[in-house]
Amino acid sequence: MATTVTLNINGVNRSVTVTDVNMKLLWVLRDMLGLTGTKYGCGIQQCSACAVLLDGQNDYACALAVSDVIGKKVTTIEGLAGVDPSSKVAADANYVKAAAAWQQYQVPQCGYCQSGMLVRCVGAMKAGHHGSQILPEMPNICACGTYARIKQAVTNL
Amino acid sequence: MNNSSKTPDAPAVSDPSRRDFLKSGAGLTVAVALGGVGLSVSKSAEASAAYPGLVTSWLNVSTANVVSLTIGTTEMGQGSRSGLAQIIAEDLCVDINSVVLLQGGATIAYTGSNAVSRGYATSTGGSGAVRNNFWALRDAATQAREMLVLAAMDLTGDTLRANYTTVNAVVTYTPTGAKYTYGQLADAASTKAALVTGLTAPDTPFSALSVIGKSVPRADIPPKLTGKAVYGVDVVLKNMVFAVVKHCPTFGGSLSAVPATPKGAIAAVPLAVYDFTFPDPTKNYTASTLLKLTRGLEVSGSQTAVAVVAADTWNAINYANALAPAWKLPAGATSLNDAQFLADGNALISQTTLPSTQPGIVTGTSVTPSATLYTVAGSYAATEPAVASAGQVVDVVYTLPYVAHAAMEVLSCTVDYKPGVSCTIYASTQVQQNALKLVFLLLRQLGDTTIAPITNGVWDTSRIQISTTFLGGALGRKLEVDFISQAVQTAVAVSKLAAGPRPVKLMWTREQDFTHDQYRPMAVVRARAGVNGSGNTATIAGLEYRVVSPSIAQQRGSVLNTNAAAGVVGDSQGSEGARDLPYAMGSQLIEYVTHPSQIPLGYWRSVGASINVFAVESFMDELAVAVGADPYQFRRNQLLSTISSGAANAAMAQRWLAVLDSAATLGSWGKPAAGNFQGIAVGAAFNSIIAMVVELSATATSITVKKVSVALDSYLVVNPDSAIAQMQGGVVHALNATLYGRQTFVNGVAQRANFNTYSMIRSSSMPDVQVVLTQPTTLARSGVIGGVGELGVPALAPAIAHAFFKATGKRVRSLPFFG
Repeated sequence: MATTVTLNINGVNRSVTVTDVNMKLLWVLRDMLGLTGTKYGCGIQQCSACAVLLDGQNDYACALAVSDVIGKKVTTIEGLAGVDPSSKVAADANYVKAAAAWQQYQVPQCGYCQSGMLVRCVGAMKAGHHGSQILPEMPNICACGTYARIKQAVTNL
Repeated sequence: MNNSSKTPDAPAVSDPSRRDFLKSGAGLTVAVALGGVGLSVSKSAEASAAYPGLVTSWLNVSTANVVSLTIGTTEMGQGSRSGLAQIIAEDLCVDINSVVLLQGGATIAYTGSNAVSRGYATSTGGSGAVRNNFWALRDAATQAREMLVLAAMDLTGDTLRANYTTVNAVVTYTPTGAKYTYGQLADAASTKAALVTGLTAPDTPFSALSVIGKSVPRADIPPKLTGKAVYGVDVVLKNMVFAVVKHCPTFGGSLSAVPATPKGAIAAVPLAVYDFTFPDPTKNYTASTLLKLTRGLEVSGSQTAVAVVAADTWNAINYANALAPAWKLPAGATSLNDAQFLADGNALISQTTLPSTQPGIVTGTSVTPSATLYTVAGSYAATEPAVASAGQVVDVVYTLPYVAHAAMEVLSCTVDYKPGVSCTIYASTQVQQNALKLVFLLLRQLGDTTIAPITNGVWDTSRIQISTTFLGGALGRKLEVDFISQAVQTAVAVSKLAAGPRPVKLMWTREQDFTHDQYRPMAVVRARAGVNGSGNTATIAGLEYRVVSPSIAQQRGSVLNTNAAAGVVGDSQGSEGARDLPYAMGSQLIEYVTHPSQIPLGYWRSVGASINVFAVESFMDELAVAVGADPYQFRRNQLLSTISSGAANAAMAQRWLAVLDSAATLGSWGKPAAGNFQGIAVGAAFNSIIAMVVELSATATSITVKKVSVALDSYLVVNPDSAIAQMQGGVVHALNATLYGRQTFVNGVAQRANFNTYSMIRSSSMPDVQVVLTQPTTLARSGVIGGVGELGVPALAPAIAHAFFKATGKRVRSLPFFG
């Protein structure tokens, strides 16, 4: 049954009409709101390509239903980077540090998993983790194998 | 023109083609021909005259002083775009950051009745993006630079070349200090083509290179940090609908009836798999080419899948999951089982009565039909006596599984089809020109000859465009065009609905990606050798090596070569890493046997070397153990023997030795940390040589790789930091495969469908990877530049296997360790 709900995405309330409230957040972001930085990788919470922050904490957009996020704040990679065209929220301070480290160590290869990598890194920083403590909070899969650079990049965060 | 970012984050529709050339704006354009000299042409000459050569890319210097290179190679994370920009910057004498890389597509263009191909090199594989374009781009940049200088000479009236310098896109006339920007000179320079014909870039001392060989930041990285980089699966077009594919779970199965469209969905579209045989316009129609998309038990024209189309991906997935089409299964599917594959492989490994003129290794029993033995090198008659009379004979079998690609971005293609008008394809593809051929042939097959016309025998592909997005990894899987065919079929079906044409984005779920991959073939390898003496100075009297593996090329319709004078006998990729070994091994017999499997096969990062380097180098370790030698010293001595023998491969042995020594030094061979164990391996692929020393700790059921020390000789490395990244990434790819990588099959159904059953390592398991690279003293055209992107893979598994043996006493001959 089509339902119209209001979701807070990157600091902006947005109205979306979904066929049912079990629809996963991942597809609302990608197919309805054009926020394609959040990636589909597995759909079963294994790879973290779909990582988003829910009320500032790491979560999986592939597993969160629309009904799970009503009344909560969703932050995507575009929100963290300050590039969501619908949002006036500036780039997140932790993201800016992390992205600078990612640039310094030339982390991405294909880059597909890196949205999720950065989101989970920022989520870990927000939870008070620093340096190598961040790594266990990032169980993301990267098939290119950028892990060596990620280990370097988180060292000074 | 945006010159701050070389790689646009939105998909561009651009071709290294006639139409791009004509619209490229004012200025100087140099066409770059494949494998040869950069070819300077004026715009009018190109537009009017018969035009030779296989143009691969266009180098343009605009009047706005922007340098752009339009090239069809694919950026899939290997960093080749920055490498290509470095080559241009070096000889054109411009800042690396001022070179704009534009993604080219593919085209097949004609001049009158004389068909020539354009964009022929628009495919990316074989670790070739940089090396295959290297000298052509250096030459093109050199010619463009000299044409600019010639234009400056017209302004000064002085034709003495020594009076001009070219720095940072400025020609300076040194007697007066007068400066002319490239943009100012570009239009006039475009008339100078005839004066630079045949001009080539010189051999250059490495120390004199200013950009090539230096680490530069990659321009594609910034958009990959913000979520703004557009991959195939991210393409958004107005009014687009979403399709998800559901294949018959059993390989070779097909629909017995077209399923009804699920309530609420837009359409359920049956998807067929087609083979096409056609007079190939890229070969001037002189040869018929087979574009074979069927694999294994599939039959051309059969409907092997359904696309479920809906308003969003979520609903499309749910409709597809709920759909239960009636499938017709092929005879033979029930024999597609792991145990059967292994039994077949084992039967062929010791079979002598194969249909071949050469006897094999030992006697055996009857054989599965259609297996064929190809003798790649040597002969049984010459080798067997040397082996049999040696002091010790070592005879072992190695087994490797089918492996999935598992690129992080699933397969996806978006099609904007306007019947009778145009068809634009947005795809994560490594093979733009194959995609163009496929779409042209497929549209004709589906009845739209208006946009895919053949006039007087000549193809007109101008209404079809192939636009390449960023690739979310490929690892070889995006050399296939199956998903592009499916997307076009879906778009054509949608166009016939009452609502009329709409763009279609087609996506595979991860489950479809794993279970309908085109897998790295399995292999059973037997190695048998005789060794004399003991300790580090023991010698190898003879080697008999047979790899039994399904042939990728043969499954695609290629007839394997049987004429040694015409090239490698058998499947050349199937024996890569096993032939041309520079070890002194006495007499060598190398055999390749096709294993008649019906599992879909594909090219997986490092292809045959991933099989053979594991077997050859594991075997070298086993020989060393048998004679009580140190594995490093044992290898060294076999290479030294070749070097001192002055044999034809002595120079190659010298290079292997240098790489082996570099890795051993870097990895402190023989001095592992307390509790750690080491393994070493060396091998060659794609004209490069790789060696690794692995240090790990292990129990019978676990491995912790601590350190990997890598030495690479690819003759030249254009961007060292990118090459190091490729080695680090190759280690991960190889670790995944070595520890866990295996697809399993029951009655023709792939069993492992997602990352919960197909394990991949995470950052917490990442070893320390150190890399040492080789650069030439003088960069010479006679030097052969090797590949980099796939080289980090093949040497890891054997090095781990030996270190594991040292740690546990157990020799693992069957990969993966824990899968």
